[in-house]
Amino acid sequence: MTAEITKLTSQDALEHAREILGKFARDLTISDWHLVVECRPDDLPEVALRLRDDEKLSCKYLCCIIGVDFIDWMEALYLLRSQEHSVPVRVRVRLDREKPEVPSVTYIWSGANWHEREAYDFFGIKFLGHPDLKRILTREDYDTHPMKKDAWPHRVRRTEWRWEELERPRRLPGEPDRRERS
Amino acid sequence: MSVLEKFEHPNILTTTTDWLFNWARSNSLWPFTYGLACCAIEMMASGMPRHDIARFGMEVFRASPRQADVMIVSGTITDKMAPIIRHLYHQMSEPRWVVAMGACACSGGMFWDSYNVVQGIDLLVPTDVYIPGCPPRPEALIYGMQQLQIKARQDTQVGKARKLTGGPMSDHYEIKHEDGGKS
Amino acid sequence: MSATEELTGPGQPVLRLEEMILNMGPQHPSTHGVLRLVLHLDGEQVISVEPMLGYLHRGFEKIAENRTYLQYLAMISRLDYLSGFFMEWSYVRSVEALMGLRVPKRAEYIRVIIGELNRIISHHIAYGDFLMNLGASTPFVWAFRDREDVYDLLEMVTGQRMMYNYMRVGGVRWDLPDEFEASCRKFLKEFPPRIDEYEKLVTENEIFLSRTLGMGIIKPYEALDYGISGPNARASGVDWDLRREVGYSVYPEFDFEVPLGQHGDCFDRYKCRIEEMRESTKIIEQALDSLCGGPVNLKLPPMLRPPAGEIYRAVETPRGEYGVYLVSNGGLRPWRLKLRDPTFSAISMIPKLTAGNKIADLVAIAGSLDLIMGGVDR
Repeated sequence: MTAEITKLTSQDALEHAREILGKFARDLTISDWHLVVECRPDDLPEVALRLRDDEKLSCKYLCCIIGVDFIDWMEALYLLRSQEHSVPVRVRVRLDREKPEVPSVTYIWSGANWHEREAYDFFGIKFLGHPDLKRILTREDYDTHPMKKDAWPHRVRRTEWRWEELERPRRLPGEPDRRERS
Repeated sequence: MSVLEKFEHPNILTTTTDWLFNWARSNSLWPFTYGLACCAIEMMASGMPRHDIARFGMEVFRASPRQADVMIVSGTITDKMAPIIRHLYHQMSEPRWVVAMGACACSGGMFWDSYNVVQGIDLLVPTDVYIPGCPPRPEALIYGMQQLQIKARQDTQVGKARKLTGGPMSDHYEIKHEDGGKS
Repeated sequence: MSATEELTGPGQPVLRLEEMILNMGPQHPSTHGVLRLVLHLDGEQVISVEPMLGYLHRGFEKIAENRTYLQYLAMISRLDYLSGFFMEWSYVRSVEALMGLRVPKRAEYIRVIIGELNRIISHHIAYGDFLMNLGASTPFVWAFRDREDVYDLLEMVTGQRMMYNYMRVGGVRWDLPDEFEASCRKFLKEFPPRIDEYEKLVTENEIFLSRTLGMGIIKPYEALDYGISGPNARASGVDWDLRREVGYSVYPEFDFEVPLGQHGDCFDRYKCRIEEMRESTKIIEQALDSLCGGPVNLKLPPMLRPPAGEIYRAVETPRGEYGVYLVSNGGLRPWRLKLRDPTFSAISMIPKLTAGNKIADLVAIAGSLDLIMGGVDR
């Protein structure tokens, strides 16, 4: 299957996405030649299905599912790509930090199964409708979700040490000041 | 062997048998394939034509713990893997030795602040030789194994309760955490 | 249980067999590191497999939030440790893209040379390990013998055999030594006959063919569905190679082919890797010919502060697409660093590929997918 790659430019992809997604996408931007689609958690399956089944933006390849913890909100990012055109698509879903829930897309891309398990393991994001949502990388009886910013994972000795507070070695005469310019 | 066990302490009658057993054992230490991470590649490379560990009698890497003498722990031990390393150590039949290869096995290495890494295998099994490096070169591994051979030659077969030489043995290691008991 | 009914015939008292659960534990000579497979077996036939990961989970992503960018660079080659240079490359690419830096041309050529050397040695292990799982021990020894030659070259340049720590944001650490080019060309002249030797030993071997042809077939749409990339996907016919599609670094200047398979079975995956080794030698020759002068490093300060933003960059490693998603808040340390591993997706396909086959076939399939648990478990 040597696909004929019709290179869409980012602007074309943006316009096309606006057409097909319509009201489901809250926000469409171009960031660093990627097309970034922002949508609500409930609309995610619809957006994902449309992106996958469209001929031009056929995002059949799910790169990965990334959870990010911004302290005021949590985000689930879906990196999608198509083998036909060369504009990768990012779908951002803004989640509530206390109760992060988003419908699962396992039935759309089978590879999402394990990626969602990993996002659940690290952040506690619940994927509704996932066939078997359990921890994948940490121990099954682990109690925290380690990647959250306020998790205190066990035996993390010093989470943040400040470079500025460390004692600096004395400079020899003539040695230039190599500290960073802040 | 039962004749030797009747003696309480090594004495003049047992020096030659001790020497013989130790010589035989130290020159055919069969390692256990416990390669976990990057150090495993260097361990495999040490058995290969350039750095030939078969010169020392150690090229027979056995996969079953019952047939192995020395467990070369090469790689990082995580919390999930910790019960398994103890399980396998107890499955090895005596005489057995443990070699910590690489910084991660010696003391946790560069993962000192990780939530999932055991800071050194000597918290789990009694270790005989520590080989630092990240990863240690095959020459370093061979040097470490030669140190183990020196150690094996100082062993004795006499006495019923022979203590295993090794690092601090904590037989009841539980993964305790600072906020005690929360897993 | 249709197998048992065939034995005893319809209408006869059925021989009742129980499903056996066997643990192919984290310590196993054939599982390529610490992969645990819980097998549900009907005799020798596998009904289902459940891979269980996490036995090497070292918490790389959490550690990234406590390290400055330069400190983390020293650690990152331990991820997929057989292709450590590509780990550094993808990380450095993301930081450079976030900061908007242009790497000097000479540094790019050096990166390509060292990267393709790393690809060659990684495919050596894929070849050697796969065949050792099938029972052949000679290719394994040959693979390691040839790795040592490349180790000499890499040690000449970087000082280390495996964990290079040679990349810096803005170039490479130091320039190539003078004797590198001559030694590298000598190696490149001696290497293609060795690949022919490997092929002569294995490719037409009857046992090898009967164990790998038609085994573990991945269809193209399945490969895309599960997120499989690299030689595993190209063997199924998915014509996607980041070096050609994205054209990062100086790859657009080189003339190389991307080997494609047709059936997507174990044999095609093996053949793809062998052909990729040949293509890598071509790329290294062309890169050595086009090495230009100039600086090899932008000489950035060690405490980097990339501007706030998010970026995703990937490179084509010997196992597939390795991506780094970096979220920076303008500080000294990354806010979120996500590592996207190709082997993670490959293992998720194992249950599908092995259902209905025998245990020996499971071993062959797992070997042909070229698994490295360091990257999977991060």
